Amino acid sequence: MTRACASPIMAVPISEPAGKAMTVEQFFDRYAAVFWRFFAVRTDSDQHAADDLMQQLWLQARLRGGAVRHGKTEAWLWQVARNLLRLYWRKRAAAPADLPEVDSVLAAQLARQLDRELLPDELLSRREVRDQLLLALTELAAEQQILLFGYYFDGKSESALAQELAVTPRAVEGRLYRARRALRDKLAHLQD
Amino acid sequence: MSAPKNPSRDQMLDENLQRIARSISLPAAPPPERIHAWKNAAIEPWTDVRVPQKRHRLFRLWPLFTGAAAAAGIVLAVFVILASPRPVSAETIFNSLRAVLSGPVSITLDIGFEGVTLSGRIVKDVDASGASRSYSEIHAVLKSDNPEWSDLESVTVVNDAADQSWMFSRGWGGCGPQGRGPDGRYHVTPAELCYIGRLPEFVRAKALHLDGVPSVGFGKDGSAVSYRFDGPERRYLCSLMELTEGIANSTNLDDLIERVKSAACDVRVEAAGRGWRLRASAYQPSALFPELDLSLPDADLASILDRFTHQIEFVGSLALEGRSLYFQNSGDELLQKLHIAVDTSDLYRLAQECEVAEEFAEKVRPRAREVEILPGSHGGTAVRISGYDWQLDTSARDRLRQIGTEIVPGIELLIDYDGQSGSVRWAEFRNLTPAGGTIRLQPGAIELDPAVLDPKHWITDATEIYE
Repeated sequence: MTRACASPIMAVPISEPAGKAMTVEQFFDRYAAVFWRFFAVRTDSDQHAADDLMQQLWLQARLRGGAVRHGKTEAWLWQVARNLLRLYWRKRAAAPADLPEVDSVLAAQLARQLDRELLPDELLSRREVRDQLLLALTELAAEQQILLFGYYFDGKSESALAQELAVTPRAVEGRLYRARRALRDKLAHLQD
Repeated sequence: MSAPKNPSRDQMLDENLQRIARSISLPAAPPPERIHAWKNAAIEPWTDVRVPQKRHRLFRLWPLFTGAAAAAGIVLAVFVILASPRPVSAETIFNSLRAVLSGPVSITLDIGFEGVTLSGRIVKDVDASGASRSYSEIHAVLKSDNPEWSDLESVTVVNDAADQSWMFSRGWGGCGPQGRGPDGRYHVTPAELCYIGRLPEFVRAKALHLDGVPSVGFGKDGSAVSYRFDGPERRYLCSLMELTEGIANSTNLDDLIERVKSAACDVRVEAAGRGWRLRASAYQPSALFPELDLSLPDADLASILDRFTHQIEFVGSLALEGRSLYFQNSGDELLQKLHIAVDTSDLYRLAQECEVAEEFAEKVRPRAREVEILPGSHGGTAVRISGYDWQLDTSARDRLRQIGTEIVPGIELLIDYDGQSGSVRWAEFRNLTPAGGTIRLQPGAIELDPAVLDPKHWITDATEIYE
């Protein structure tokens, strides 16, 4: 499937809403970990599969990214990523039985509990519960994922995240608040 | 910019996320060299991957439509174009205005301020030869603050024609005798002026300035009354009179348009149906331009509003204390609206009275939870105020609520004084709610009506509204 690269990859400019023109390369570099995690969760942490999917994502972005409309880069990439994933599993005829699957009833129940009561350890230890949380977390907007994973999973401080995102700590605080709510909303409407 | 509506729920979310983070193991993030490898190990694209397209595929079927369907589509499209509002540029609006003003025009005025009502009409007639004449009649009724006294009406009538011009003005300055009228209330007889012939400019200018009636008080038999005609209303009346002057003179049409443009700012205006609309605001109060939507170019907004980049709309209330700036962010964040009301009569006066920042801080301190003096950014001094009690009266609060503004505390105001001149260099408004956010107004940083940038316009309250 792979062959040697004949020519260096050219950076294709993509316009961003804030008026700053980001190239595909910059955009890809910035959110690569987010997209990779999206693939990894949905391929049962199959690193090779995730790598293949990331390569395809990069290729599509390079080939067609220039035509993406103003401010639509992220939404466009997410849609391409979902389509690639669909194609990946179609080619393999059947997905493994233990692949995380959306359980919208369970996810909606989690959404209701999330801001009302402490989730018991027994609940969090259930595989299907963890799956819903992972699926929802990896569906959030890229920046929200960076914030939530950075703050809660990697233990970064608000100041460190502020520095990373080039915003004020107060802005990080606000965006974290919105990201938490986005997670709850995503769980409430989680779908295949 | 959102304070949690229910902090305990957000706290619960926070705690649950901490527990989730402890119990879930994430796929490890890929190292940078892997990202590099993805990009440089060229591969064949998967052939049947669906890539979102700019246009729907059904557009390809367009040539296959039958003639009748195409005709129906065209008719529908024409209908939609004609029926639906579409954005037009401010330039288009002003060009339309230019076209309107070059022909016969009749404008009716009815504008209410708190203490003054302006009404009247401006008429421009163009005869067959193309010569024009104008007639204007503008009434300013100054409301009495004592029911025992009648309102004080001033009127200025200008008739400007090629053969003869004249002007009549009543109540422009001095006032005559006071006595009881037929309604039993005291009344004041305003002085009258009448000029016939070509009006010398200085006469016209004197009439326009209306210097005599900014604030007048009278007393009779122990009863006292005062009439107020504050600066903004007076200036607005003057601008109406100037418009009267310019409207009939086609050689000055460009100047007139420029004046209107400068009064209306650099705006984006939405069309209404087939026409265009101009909307009144506090700074350009105008039945004259009854539907003017004021907004700023996105690029300018971005420089001061950081993430709140999309739209600034001036929700004007004719009452002076009811001015509001309305911000709407563009992103997918939850915050939809942030209203900030600005008060022209409170901190401004206080700031004007103070020559140095320290004096200002001391005067503000009794009404603020916290006042701090800090080094300014330009060798000067800054004053940080939080928890200021804006002491809005009931009518001001009602007005804010009418435009959808809920009054909540939570704004920190930072004012930066210049070290040399002592003037205010900029004012920064910080949202103290957990979402944060900062808005800085700085003369020259945005192209807005200078009056808006004037440090006399301070934020009084802020609110967040979820949609």
